[in-house]
Amino acid sequence: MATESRSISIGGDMGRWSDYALDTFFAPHLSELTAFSAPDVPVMDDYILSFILNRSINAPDDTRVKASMILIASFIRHVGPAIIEYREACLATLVTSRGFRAEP
Amino acid sequence: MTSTHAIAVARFENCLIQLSAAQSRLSALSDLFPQHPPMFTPQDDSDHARLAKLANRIRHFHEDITTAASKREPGPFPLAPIWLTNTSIKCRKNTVFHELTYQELAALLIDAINTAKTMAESPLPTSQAPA
Repeated sequence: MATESRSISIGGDMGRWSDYALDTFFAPHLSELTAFSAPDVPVMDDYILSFILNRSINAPDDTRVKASMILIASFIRHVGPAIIEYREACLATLVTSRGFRAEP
Repeated sequence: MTSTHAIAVARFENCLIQLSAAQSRLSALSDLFPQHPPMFTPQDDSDHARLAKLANRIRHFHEDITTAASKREPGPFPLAPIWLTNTSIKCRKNTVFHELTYQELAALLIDAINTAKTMAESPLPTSQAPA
């Protein structure tokens, strides 16, 4: 007789999971995530444009200057997305911390 | 359906990776211009160093699993590279826990904004340094 494999599909919120299930199968100490709060961080102005206009044009032909310009531009390019991700992460975590304890 | 929690963790992971990458660019600047001291050393327990440790756990989580699996008595496997609490982001490397509070992460991001503004509008490092 052939063996039939079955899967279980679960939708909806996670309010019915026990603390043990949350902490064991989803994430460590997830059941304790109940009252999240974090400081707001403003979106950064477009400093990469300022950097290009102020520094890249007419920069001296020097190896260390060229290297530093690439590093600084890369620094600025990474900071902007880091802030956007932080802001989105805080929103999602706030929803999560409220949702886990919501009544089904 | 992707859970909101998975999105939250992924967003924080992306934030930590991006900010760690930005931090590494500043460290490289210190290598180019030794008169500017490095922001942190891997051994210290500064917020910069703990940010780097969290980002490393995200990057090398697969190695944590394979390393644990290769042991004769693996014990409990790590479940995730980082996890969220009410006040901080945590990770574990072997038996050592590392933590970065949301307050510290926000302060690092605001510092990074100020640094980006300064770098975009100030003279380049070589023009500040003696010849």
